Amino acid sequence: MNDKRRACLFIQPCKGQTERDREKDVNDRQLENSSANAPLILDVVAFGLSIVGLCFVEFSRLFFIPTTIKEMSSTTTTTTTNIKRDDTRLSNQIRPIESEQALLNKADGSAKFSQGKSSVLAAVYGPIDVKTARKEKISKSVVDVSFTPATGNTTYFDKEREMLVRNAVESIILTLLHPRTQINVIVQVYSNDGSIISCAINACCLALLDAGIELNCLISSITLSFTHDNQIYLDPTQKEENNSKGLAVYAINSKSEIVMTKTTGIIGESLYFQGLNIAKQSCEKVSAYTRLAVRNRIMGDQTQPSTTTTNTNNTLVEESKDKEMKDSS
Amino acid sequence: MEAFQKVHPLEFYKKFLERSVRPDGRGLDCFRKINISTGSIMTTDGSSFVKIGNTSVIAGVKAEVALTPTQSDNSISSNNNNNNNKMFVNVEMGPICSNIFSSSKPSEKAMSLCSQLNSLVNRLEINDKELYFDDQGKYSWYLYIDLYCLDYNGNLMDACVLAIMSALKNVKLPKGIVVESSASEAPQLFKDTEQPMRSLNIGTYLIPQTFVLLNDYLLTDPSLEEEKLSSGTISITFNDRFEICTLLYTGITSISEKILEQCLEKTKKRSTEIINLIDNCCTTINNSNNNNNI
Amino acid sequence: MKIDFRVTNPIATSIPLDYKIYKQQQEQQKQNEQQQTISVPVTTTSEPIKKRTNRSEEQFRQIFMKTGVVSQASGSAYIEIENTKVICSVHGPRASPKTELFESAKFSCELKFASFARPGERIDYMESAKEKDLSINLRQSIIGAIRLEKYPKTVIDVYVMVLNDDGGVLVAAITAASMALADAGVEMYDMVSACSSICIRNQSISNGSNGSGSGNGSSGAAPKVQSSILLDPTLQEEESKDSLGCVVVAKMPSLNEITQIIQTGELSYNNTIDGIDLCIDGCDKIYSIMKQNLISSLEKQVSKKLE
Repeated sequence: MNDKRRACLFIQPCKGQTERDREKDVNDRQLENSSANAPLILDVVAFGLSIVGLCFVEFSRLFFIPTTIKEMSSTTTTTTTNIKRDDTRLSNQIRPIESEQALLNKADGSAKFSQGKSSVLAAVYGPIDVKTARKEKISKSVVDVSFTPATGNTTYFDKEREMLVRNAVESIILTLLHPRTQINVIVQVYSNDGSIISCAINACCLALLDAGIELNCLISSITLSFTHDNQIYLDPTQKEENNSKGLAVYAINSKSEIVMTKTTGIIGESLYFQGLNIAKQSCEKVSAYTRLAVRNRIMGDQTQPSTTTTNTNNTLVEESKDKEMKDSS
Repeated sequence: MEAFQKVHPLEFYKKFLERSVRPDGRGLDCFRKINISTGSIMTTDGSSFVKIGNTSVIAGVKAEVALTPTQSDNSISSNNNNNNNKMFVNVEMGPICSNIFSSSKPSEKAMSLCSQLNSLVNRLEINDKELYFDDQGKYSWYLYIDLYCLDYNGNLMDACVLAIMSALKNVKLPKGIVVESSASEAPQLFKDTEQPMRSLNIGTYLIPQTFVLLNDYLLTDPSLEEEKLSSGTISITFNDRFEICTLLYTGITSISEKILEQCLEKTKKRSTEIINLIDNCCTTINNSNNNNNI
Repeated sequence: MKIDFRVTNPIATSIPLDYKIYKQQQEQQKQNEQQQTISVPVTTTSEPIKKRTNRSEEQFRQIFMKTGVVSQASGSAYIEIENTKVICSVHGPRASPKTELFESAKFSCELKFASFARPGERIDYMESAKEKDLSINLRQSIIGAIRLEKYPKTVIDVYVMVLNDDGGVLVAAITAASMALADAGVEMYDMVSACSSICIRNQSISNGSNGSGSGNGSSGAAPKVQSSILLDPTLQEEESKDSLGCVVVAKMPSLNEITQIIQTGELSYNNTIDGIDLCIDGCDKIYSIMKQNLISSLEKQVSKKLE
């Protein structure tokens, strides 16, 4: 389509995805939801990938997280020492992650990222000309983020989120490579069920990868909530956020350095640093997921010419799954 | 020298920072002089004026009354507060304070600051009973805290937090009288101006401190120029039990854990000074002339 | 629908009224019931104005001025007329954001009230009609004094913020703006100083017509109302129902030219002339204070540089 995309090493734009293909996606996804065991899910996903180049990976973690709510009750019987949360998760469990790349045709890169019921669409346009001359920077490109909530007008809360996302995203983009240009990142919230800033940052990272914008590393983000009895909950839902004593958002790059951190509420100092360690570990896993998602997308493109190679594709997925399990352990 | 500063501001700063001094003569850990005065605006229920170096902020509190909402009411925001906000903070950074702002719509900076301060004001541990209008708490006071930045020269966060603290300490609420008229009509609310006013009991102090990272140097209480050149900003607010109320790091470079710990340590060291500052401004102003607030 | 980015309370709140006034009103109502007349709605300004105790009718309140208060502006001034507090900053002459060519500088004024500036209800953050009106008046008063042709292709912006309104906002704004312009080093023919006066109905008569009085001058059916003119009115005097009208004069004293006269309310010819005369006199006095202040601030700057 354009030079930027070709310059990108590992991602190709989603070409020729028709309405019918999209319908297929939907069908595939419905299939997954009804299926009971994880390998089958991955099979189906891989099959879907090979056809449409869409990435949809069910991300298993340290603890296996099932897709359907029905199944959850069965897995929670295996829980050990940790305190159960309202939605039967453990305190150090994150919600199932789903992602989808290149779902917008007009954007240079786009990604949808969901953590449980929180779901965010990010689109990247750029590098393009700077529209307002006042913003232009001579030595580097300007990163502009706009954060749109799911419902209602943009409020001052959203403006703060916008600022946080922009700071996090700007830190990983090699802005010096595109002087006097602008990179627009548009974040649209589908549904907000807590940890929305983290979800947005993760979506932006995937979208930037999809757009082929040069990054110096990956970024991933996680939200922690601190309860009144000093428990730390990973990836809280909206309800948990509201009932918590304090909240902390961490954005950590793949070199495991803190890029952005923000707390609200009251958090003890030692608890904060305890949370930081947990965040670092789980951000690694989110990054691993991002890598996996991108890899699967490329494989889908590779296998596009013929459908006979689905077998090899399957094994690849399995391998990557193994690798990812290693990462998490 | 001035030309050098204009053309290569970062190099200019580096030359100074290598000798651990800043262009304005401060050491890396030194902060600017803080002036707080209260009660200068007569039309408010409590007001304060805070000056950190050249940065100045004026805060005014207006109290209004409404029926206390029942607990079942929807929470106003997702900002993990105890459901019902009784205090609303607004920050205005108009063109008066700096030529980088326009008057048309609040800047992003003002809005994100506003969002932070709104969640922070709930950390002040003001008991609900303090804001009761009548004795039973059927009606309660709502406090609108408006902050106007008059001069923007960096470190607005600290100035705003101090302004909120001292303005709330300055708040004087009159005794409320509820006159039940007929059953169908809403009761009328009156304030009793003849009885002595009461002031608010604030449970804790907020101790703010802002740092910037500039060329790997950590600078306390940054000026506007330092903020512009910096690669990252760290804002910390403690309460008086040294629990973190805000810890915000934003920037285009990463920050190490060590620096974060350093910042927290430095903020703690300054706590007694800030507490004294807030206490003093409230006691001295009561008997002095309130004019000449700038 | 207007989009408001500010924090708002979903619950409608109100300011409670003064119980003292309520009690008075209740008593009055009881009397009225006996006399069968319509009750007067309670407002905080319904009190008849008190006679000035600490100053005479032709005396100013204490004025305090200071220039160079805003470090980020090219020029700034702060002025305090007892409880009226106004801060002003001037940006420019600076390059205009638009690249169009014009021969003289563009000059714009904006006046804003802080939300807590007036007693009673909070003022909306959006620009109100009153603010716009004052902005235009402010611009009109000063624009004549500036040598705009000296600064082609530039913009000069004056921003005024009213922190506390206790009468004479426009006076304070005009004075502060011309001080700030002088502080910014903008070339002017002369500084503009301003002064206001008010004409009020005399106490003895107003007390008698208390029940029927419904605002400015409507009860002045009798052509010869006994009235007196007060210099530099406070907010209470301005908004009292006894006030017949107000005169604001802006003047360039050393050129002896008047830049603007604003007269509001229903005033007789003689009252207007008297009011203007009083204001012109007041302008000269304010001008001398302004001059003194600028010279002393300049001396300070010079001595600072010499150090």
